[in-house]
Amino acid sequence: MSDKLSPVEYIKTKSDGLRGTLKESIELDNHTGNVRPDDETLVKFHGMYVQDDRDKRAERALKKLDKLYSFMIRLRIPGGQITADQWIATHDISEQYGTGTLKITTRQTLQLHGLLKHQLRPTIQSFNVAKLDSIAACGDVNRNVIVSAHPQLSPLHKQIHDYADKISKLLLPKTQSYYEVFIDGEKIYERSAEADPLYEDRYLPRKFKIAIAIPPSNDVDLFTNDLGLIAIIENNELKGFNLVIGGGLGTTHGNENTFPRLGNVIGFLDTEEKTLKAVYEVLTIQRDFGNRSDRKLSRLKYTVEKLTVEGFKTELENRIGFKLEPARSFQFTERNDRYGWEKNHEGKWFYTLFVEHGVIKPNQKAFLYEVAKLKMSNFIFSGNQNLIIGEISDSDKSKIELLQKQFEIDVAESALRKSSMACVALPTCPLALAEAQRYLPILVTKIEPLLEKYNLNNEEISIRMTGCPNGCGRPYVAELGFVGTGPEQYNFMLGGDRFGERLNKLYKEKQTESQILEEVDVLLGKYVKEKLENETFGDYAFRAIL
Amino acid sequence: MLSDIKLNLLQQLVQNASNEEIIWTKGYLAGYLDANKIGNKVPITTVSENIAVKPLIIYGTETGNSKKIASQLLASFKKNKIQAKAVDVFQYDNVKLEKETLLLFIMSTQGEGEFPQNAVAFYEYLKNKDLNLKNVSYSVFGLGDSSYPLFCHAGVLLDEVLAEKGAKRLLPLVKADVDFAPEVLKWEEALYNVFKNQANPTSVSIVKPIAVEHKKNYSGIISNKIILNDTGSNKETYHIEISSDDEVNYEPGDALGIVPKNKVDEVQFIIDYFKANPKQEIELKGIKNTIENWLLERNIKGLSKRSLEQLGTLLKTEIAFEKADLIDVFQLYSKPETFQIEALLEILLPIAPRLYSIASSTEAHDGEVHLTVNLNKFKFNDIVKTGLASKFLADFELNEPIEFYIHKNQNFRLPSDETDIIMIGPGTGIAPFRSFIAHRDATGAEGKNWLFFGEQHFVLDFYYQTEIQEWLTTGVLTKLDTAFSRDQEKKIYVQDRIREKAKEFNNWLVNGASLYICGQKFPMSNDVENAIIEVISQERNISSEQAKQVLEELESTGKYQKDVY
Repeated sequence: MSDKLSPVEYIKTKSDGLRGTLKESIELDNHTGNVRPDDETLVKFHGMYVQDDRDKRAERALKKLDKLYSFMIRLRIPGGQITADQWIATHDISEQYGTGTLKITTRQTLQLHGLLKHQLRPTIQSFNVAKLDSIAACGDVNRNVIVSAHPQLSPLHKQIHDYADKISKLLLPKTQSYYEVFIDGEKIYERSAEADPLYEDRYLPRKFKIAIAIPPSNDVDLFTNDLGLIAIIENNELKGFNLVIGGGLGTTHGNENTFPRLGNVIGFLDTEEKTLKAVYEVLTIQRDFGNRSDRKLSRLKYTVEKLTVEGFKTELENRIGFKLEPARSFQFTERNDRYGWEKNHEGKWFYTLFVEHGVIKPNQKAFLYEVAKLKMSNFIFSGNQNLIIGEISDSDKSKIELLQKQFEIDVAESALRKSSMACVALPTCPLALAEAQRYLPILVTKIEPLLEKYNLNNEEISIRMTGCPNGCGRPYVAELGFVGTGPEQYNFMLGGDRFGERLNKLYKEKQTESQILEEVDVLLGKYVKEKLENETFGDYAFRAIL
Repeated sequence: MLSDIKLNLLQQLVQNASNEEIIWTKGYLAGYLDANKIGNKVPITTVSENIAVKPLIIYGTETGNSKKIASQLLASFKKNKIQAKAVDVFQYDNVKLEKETLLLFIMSTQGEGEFPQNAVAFYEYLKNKDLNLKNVSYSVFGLGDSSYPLFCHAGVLLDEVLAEKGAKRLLPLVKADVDFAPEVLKWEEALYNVFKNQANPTSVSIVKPIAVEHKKNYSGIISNKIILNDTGSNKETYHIEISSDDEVNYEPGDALGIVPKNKVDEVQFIIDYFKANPKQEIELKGIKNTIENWLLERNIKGLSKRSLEQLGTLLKTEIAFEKADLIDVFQLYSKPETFQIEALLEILLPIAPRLYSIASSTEAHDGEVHLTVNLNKFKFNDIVKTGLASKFLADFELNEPIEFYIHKNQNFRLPSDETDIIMIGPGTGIAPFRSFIAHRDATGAEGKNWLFFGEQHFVLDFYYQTEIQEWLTTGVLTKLDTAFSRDQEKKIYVQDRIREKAKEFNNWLVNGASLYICGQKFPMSNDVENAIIEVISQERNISSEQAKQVLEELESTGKYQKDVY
């Protein structure tokens, strides 16, 4: 491995504050639906990915048409909470531009797919009017900050939730290019006003993910984040946060230097000031020490490995100017969402809607639009890609229930399906080797009879699938993990725990559907016979199978 | 001995000719053979002495050719000190007719032998009004396309009605084909002769007032056929590749002509209507063919008012339509006992050939002929119908033999290699420009090339997108402007892009660029032309009347060419 900077590093430093030639790409290049090659990198920092419909490539090539390029736009919604008005705006925008699909991501935000290049400006302008943006939703910067979603988890939920916004603001790039390129079209910056002491002109070596968990729920999959904060609540008071560093799941098939890694708890922070300071400096360490020559080895987890956990901690303490306190104890006992109606400490109602893999179905979309129009609730996205309709008063609850009936919302789904997760994969994700979001629901339908057979219908076994080894669907912390290796082929991962604290391991390589079903049948059969009392499937597999 | 198409043309000519015309034609053909032995001479027209006639040139035009000829004639007259005037028939004050002395008509023919839209009212007036034109001398120059039935029919009708009303025919009617330039010169010469010998016009003789055959026929196969639109488009536009064992001789700008055949199920419907035997042979004007074949090759679509009137007589009823398909009529009216299929075949005209601008270049596409054909869909009485020829091509089986000919279009030609060109070709109007650019790419022509393209949707309807991208990359295409009308709320068309680029557009013209428009006449080419006039007027700070003259000047010098339909 050479120390030559990766090409992306040059694109960033030459980009004039992430501007590049984006304006030219949008305004002048009428022959293509894509942006120029360097701009493909830069547009990510503004919350967008270029994709093309891979299903249509061959057919369009015959028709002498270019690839069907479109853009995915991902919003920045720290903590995943928006107002009813914002939901209405988002709904309307999705109807006007793109494919009409709204997708809830594993990072508590929304994605719109299939936006054409000429629709980018009107889309972003409409979001701007609704006080929503997509700044830094992708790219080598801090991504959307996520927080345990359900307000019922703690009376202190709001207080903790506010940290997401504070951290997001603290770590936003200073460049105003987003507004310049997509909103006004006018140059609105002075170079000096844009000086960015955190990101400088090189940004981070790679994406950076931050999560805040409120025990007992690990719905954010805290240990898979570059940086995690575990809220420590004692006597109904927020004492501070345990600091976790170095998690990350992305790997590359055939590259042994890459691996999934769970974060290490390295200490405790007792004030807001100290917490924000420590978070900030973890990023500066990554900025300064992260690998900038090989993007496959540039996440924080590799930097932690390089410095060692202790070495990283020492460097951090030097930078923040104080010692970390010893970590406090905590316990996670759930990771799934609390589906259905729940009440918080103030007596407000919350309804968690199961949204399979975050793809909001047409009836759900119509339902949510009507709910939003009542303006009696907010909308919260969970890290499990579900949606919580929140803050509903006792008297309003029945109105929502009426709509639920009207749109046939409350359908029974198996516990397995409600514990499933998949990334987008084909046809739009350029990295995908196999199906995920389009296929996992089918696979679950085929596994359900097996659960029936062993009387495991109510078992919340976590099942996750991704189309490539990059880990967007967090398959390495599932009890049943499937990582795409090629068309209709998956690496079968086994032995993760139920709450996201232990990685699974490769059980069988390159499995087809029939092989998967056969294996699952055998494994479940053994599990019901041999499990200890209260032993989850993941724990059993870890103990007895691997 | 003759190919199908040639035979077809000859039949049309003979069927639509009077006895006198046939006799005359016989003589003409004999003369033609003789003349060709000696070799063709282009007449040179110079008249020295003053001639005391004041001709008024009245032209009826659809595509601008008649107007072009009128201008040319007017210029020639002026040079020879003949006080002439020219007027669009549309603007002519009919009341003055009886007071005229010398009228020169240049009249084109549209579709099924119809007058240009602008000339219909004039002809109706002439025909229906009780007029005495005994003081009027006239000559009619008819324009048409000999591929169509009722060749130059508007000219024929005009020539006849003028004589009926007592006007004096100075010269026999001229029927000029698409390559009309030589005919114009001959007419001009004949006119000068007549003017000189006004006292004795009958002594004037004029040679061959009919077109020379310019079409060569080929047989080939459709080797490839692609719908260029992606799924979801409102359009269905075909890229069609035709290959032939013969070397097909064509140039960029030329068109391909085909004579489509009717659909088998529609022919069957008619056979069933008459309970006829499809294999029965019937002789029409000396030619024998089976009923089935006659019906495959006769026009049964979009019958004209005249055909419908004839049909009404046979059906013993009055047909309420202005235009209709034969099958629609048959579905509404039951067959009278006496109505025999022979009578029907006698009134049906042969199917006219259709022309498609060629989208390929012999230099770049391996001798193939490519077409860009939009499947023409339209509603008639709320039923979606398709155009005969486009449907014929769209459904044509791959690798089955197809007959076609090349229609030379001298009025749509690339300029010299170093001249810049601006090409405006929305929709299937892009076809000849694919030919132009591919040709310039293959031959290394140095002139700059600017293309304007438009359709409904960028992702669905961007014809030849990947080829255009390649041309941009290699640099043969200098500039591209696109307008996709339905990609945003406010519709944007190519003319809007021309206005946006006003300064540069005008600069190109000032620097000698040639200008081309191809595509739909209405409303596209008119809107584009207006935009160009606006741009010239604005950028050169001249009145729009002057800007119009600039454009006319470009047109008359061949620097502005149109292929619109």
